[in-house]
Amino acid sequence: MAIIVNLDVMLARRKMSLTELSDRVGITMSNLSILKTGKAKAIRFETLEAICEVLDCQPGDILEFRPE
Amino acid sequence: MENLKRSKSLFGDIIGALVLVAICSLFIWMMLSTVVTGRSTGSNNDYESYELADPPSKYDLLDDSIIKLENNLNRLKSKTANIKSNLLPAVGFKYSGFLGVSSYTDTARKNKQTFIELSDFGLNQNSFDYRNSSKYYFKDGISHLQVPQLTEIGKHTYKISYTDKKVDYRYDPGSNVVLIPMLSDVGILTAKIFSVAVALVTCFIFMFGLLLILKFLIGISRNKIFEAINIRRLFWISMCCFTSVLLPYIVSGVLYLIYAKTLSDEVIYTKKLSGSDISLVMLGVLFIALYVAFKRGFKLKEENDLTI
Repeated sequence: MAIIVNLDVMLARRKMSLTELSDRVGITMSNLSILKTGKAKAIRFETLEAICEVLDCQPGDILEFRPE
Repeated sequence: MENLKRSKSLFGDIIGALVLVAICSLFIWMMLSTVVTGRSTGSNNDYESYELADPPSKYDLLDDSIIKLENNLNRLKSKTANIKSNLLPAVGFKYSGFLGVSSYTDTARKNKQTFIELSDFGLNQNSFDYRNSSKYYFKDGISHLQVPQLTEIGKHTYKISYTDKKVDYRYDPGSNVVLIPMLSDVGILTAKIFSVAVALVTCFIFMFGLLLILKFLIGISRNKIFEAINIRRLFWISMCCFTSVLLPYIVSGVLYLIYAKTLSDEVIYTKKLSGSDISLVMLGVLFIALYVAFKRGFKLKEENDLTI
């Protein structure tokens, strides 16, 4: 997929664990794992908004377009 | 991993169907063994040799109305003959076989020959005009076929002449069965094994389809509706429907081409799509439609599941 999710990079920058993010955003660990591994087919705006709010970043910091 | 699971599930289905077939084959074997014992012990009820009367002589200058009346009379006669010959599997022959491939012993000559019983084949006869069609008769242990030649000699007046021809197949007009001699006398045991194998394959396909329907319904009851394995079952159910319709056509066709000695022009394929065949085809199409719909539903579900 051409859209790359850089969630692990942002988590490392904020020194936050996946469990903490899961607790603060209110998404299950399995869903976060799907997002992190790039298996996700779509992401809701509200989920993106919540992640950006917790990680204090822009959507562009998490999502990246890389041509295949 | 998923592929392995799928193949394991399919393997399980096949094993299940095989177990069902084994149970059914036990019943079939019990049924057939009774039939065979009945046949072998009842050797004293030999069928009498049946011969038709002398071939019809030439008909000259017949009026149209007389032809029609005589046609009706002949139809009635043939119906009576059919009822009579239904009691005899092969005219002048002692029957000792089952399920398509049979051995017949000529009671008059005491010689044994194995025939294929092609129940879906008949003689190429014109059913609208009885007189203007080929006539089969059996005389002195030899099959004869009278081929008519119709020549118009005036207005509404015809001259019909018959050419006699010796043929090596036998024809049972009662059950519309053509008995075609095999290339080699394979023996009744081989014939029986082959017949049972064909019956078991058909039984297996039927049971496999039934088992898949059962498994599909169990899957639905366990809320595993849109799962790849369950959806693939729909496809195989439809394949079972199509195969069970096509198998009799394929088997009789292949038998005819491979084992039949006589590939005569007079012997034609008379099998037509019956009501049950059509309903099975429709069922197969319905299952294919369900398969396509469920596949689309599966994709939508997957997309929904992977939306965070």
